[in-house]
Amino acid sequence: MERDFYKIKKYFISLLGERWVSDNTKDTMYYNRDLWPREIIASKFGVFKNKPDLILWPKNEEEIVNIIKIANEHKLNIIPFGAGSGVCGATLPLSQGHNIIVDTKRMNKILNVDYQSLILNVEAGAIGYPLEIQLNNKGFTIGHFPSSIYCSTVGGWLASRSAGQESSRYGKIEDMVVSLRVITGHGEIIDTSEIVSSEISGDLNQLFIGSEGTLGIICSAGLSINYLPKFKTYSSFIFKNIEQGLSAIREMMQNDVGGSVIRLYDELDSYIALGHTKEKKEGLFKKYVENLNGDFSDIFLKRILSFPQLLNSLSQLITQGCLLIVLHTGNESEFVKYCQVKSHKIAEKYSGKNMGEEPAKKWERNRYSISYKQSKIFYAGGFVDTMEVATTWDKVAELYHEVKRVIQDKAFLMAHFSHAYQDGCSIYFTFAAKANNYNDAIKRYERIWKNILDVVLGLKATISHHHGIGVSKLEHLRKQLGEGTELFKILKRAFDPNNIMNKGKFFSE
Amino acid sequence: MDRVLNEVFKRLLDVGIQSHYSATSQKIHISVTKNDEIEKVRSIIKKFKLRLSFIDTANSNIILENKINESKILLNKESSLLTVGVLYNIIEAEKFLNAHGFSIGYYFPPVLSSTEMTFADWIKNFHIPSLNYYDKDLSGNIRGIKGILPNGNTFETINAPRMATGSDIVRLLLLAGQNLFSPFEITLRIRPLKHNIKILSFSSKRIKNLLSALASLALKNIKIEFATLYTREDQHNDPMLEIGYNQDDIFDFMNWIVRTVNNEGVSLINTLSEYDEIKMRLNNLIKHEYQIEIYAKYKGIGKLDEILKSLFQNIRFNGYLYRYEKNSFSFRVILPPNLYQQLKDNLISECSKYKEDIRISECTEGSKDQIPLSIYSKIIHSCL
Ligand SMILES: Cc1cc2nc3c(=O)[nH]c(=O)nc-3n(C[C@H](O)[C@H](O)[C@H](O)COP(=O)(O)OP(=O)(O)OC[C@H]3O[C@@H](n4cnc5c(N)ncnc54)[C@H](O)[C@@H]3O)c2cc1C
Repeated sequence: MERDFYKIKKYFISLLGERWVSDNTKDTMYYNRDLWPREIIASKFGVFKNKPDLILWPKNEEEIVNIIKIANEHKLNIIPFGAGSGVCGATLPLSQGHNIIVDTKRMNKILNVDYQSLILNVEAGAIGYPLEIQLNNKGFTIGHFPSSIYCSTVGGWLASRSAGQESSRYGKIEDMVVSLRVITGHGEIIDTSEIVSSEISGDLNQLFIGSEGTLGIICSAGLSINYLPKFKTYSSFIFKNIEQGLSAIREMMQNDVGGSVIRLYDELDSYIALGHTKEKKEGLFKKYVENLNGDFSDIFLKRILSFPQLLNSLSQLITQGCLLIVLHTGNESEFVKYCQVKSHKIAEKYSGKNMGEEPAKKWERNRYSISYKQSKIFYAGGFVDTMEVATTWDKVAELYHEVKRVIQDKAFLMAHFSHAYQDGCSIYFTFAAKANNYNDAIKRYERIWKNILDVVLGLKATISHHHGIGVSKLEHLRKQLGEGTELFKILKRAFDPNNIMNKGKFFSE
Repeated sequence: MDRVLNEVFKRLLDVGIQSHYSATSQKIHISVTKNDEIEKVRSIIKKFKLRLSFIDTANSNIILENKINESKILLNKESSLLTVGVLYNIIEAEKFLNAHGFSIGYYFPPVLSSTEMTFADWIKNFHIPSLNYYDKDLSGNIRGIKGILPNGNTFETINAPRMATGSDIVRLLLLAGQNLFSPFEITLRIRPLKHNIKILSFSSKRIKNLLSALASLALKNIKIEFATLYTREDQHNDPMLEIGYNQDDIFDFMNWIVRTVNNEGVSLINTLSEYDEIKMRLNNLIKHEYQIEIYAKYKGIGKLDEILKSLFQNIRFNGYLYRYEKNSFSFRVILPPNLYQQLKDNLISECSKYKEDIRISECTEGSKDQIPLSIYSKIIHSCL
């Protein structure tokens, strides 16, 4: 067996060149996980379970076709890898056999930009930020701004149905796809741009989008782009409670004046976003919140995380209300102004107190930094994670309160509502808790997830709005789909009959 | 198999389910009209490890016709959603929605003009476009679907605005059609009914200018309610673009549209038609038998114009916009029957020179046969 694998490695070296094939420990350690917090906890406690056998860095489609061919012949497990910023364990090597990571980052070229039809053709390994800057320099934007824009790829966005901060204007990534070029697990190249009708190609796109590397490797994509907006307005409001804020964003979305960015924060998240301006209520709570926000003292943090219930109740006392920020953008200044005025009227209807431009501008200045400030909590022996669920408007507030109720004694919890649509919106929960040792941490961590996802399922909401499923939510997806799990198997049989793509995900054994 | 089917047939009779058994073709046809009958069928076929089919193919033994005519119609006002039994008549549903201040949306006329059409019929043709690209076609508006799978189990998707839970299962169900699933209820995204829709009409000697005008509205994301574009060769008039927009007290949408469109060299003319007339006209155009659909990216507008000009120098043709999206559109050309084959071949050969930007397709009913056969059969095969 090992001799066979040695031969396979040799073959890959002959195919890609020595530099682009690795099994050295530094690399296999790095690629043993993505940013799923459960695995971060494990690595903090020195537990490493899932090392891949090889990492490959192909440079083009032809090399990928050959990799897939060999994988089919030798029943290898191929794991497509973008930048590893996924937070659900979707790149974990789980096969009992040989696990081969295929990192796409060398395939990062812009292939073509059609400035007349506004279509960008780009390879899947392109990292978000440099790509966006290249387009900005020509006066265009993709309109996709995930907080991980510095460390995620086009292929990763597509494979996990990512959402950017301006989704209310530009949609999620699945709304931007014109065409895909995919090499399936069967080794076949499917190019949906070759299909005459755009609606049919659209259907096929939607089968590969979100498939998390289980059906094939996305090599390149045609994405719809936009003129870079010239005008922008900033608005901020404070609402008495979540319900009033939610009514306002619902009405804004249903009247097409939701803007590019629309974010409503619950009381605690607002406290952080606003910079807790109420001086007299600072003290202990301020210190705690600052810690969550990145200015940490390990011991303090560890202590304070032991009392989630107390903290959660305290957050109710310090409330300054719920902050809403709205950014309107466009190329017609009058229209941008019109949308802003209309959205203000709606906010006022729900007794929103106008806070001026600053909170929205502050958000924009820090738009990519907040998500990177969590590692201190892990160092302090605690853990933190985020959970993004979504439902229709009639159930959003209920879902929010129910999750808070079941979690309040287990973890410190806050939330914001940052992707809104005409028919509903997502809720982005952040929770933090402490743990005494590895087993305790994993037990608590999993219990919190289970408790929240049970509530989500009970209300027939979706268990993921944009992070995807990976390993972390697979069991709950099974419950959510019931009979529908069979449908995933149909796709698997159609495009990856030998089950060589990303085993252990989406119900493939 | 014969014995098994005979036994199944007997048991179905015992529990009072209407069915028809043909020993020669080895098929049982079942028709269910109530929800609880499905459960009875399920438990019988499960016992015999059989599967249901919803269309009669060579492989099917038990063919189930879903006639559950649920009169269910449920409006979720807060979330702008309609949940409705698939045998519900679409026009009736639209009337119901209008009474509550909502509309299904500006779909292409066949949906809203045919008095007979049910949601089940629409699902079979889920690519009937919308006259407003923001609104998308049916597949982009179905938020939830409920129905029966071949093992007799009921399957219901979660109904959320957007999800990241893998491949889009609703698309798979629609693509595979009756090979995989028989729906009995859908949840659709609906729109607020607008009372102040005005229509602007533009004309130009060249289709090219009108298509470019449409392109700038779409590419610049200008919020219009609907757009139609058609030639009027028969009437010896210039081609025309009609834009529906919502008149607003504060913002002058008309001015914005006119300014954008004027850049493309088209002229504003008196509005000739009401929305009902537009619908009727499109409905008549779509019925023509000899038509060809040309898909183009907006980049291909100039080339398309040249092709049409050179091919139709001495021949009159009628054409109309069938679909437009943010980056592309499709235009249907109605050809004289006697020249259909010849002109189609010429069009195909001309367009093939620009195949990155312009493509041709025959106008077939339904859409599944346009999927590359290899991919479609793979999906279907995997379903069976
Ligand atoms: C700090 C931080 C902030 C984040 N913010 C956001 C956010 O705002 N919005 C959001 O949506 N997500 C966010 N995420 C999650 C993550 O960044 C996204 O899921 C992202 O899309 C993953 O991209 P990636 O290139 O890192 O993919 P990876 O993590 O490498 O892979 C993710 C999945 O995609 C598959 N895959 C990758 N490339 C390909 C390919 N070419 N073909 C087929 N399958 C492929 C992998 O097999 C895996 O299943 C955030 C994560 C972090 C750490």
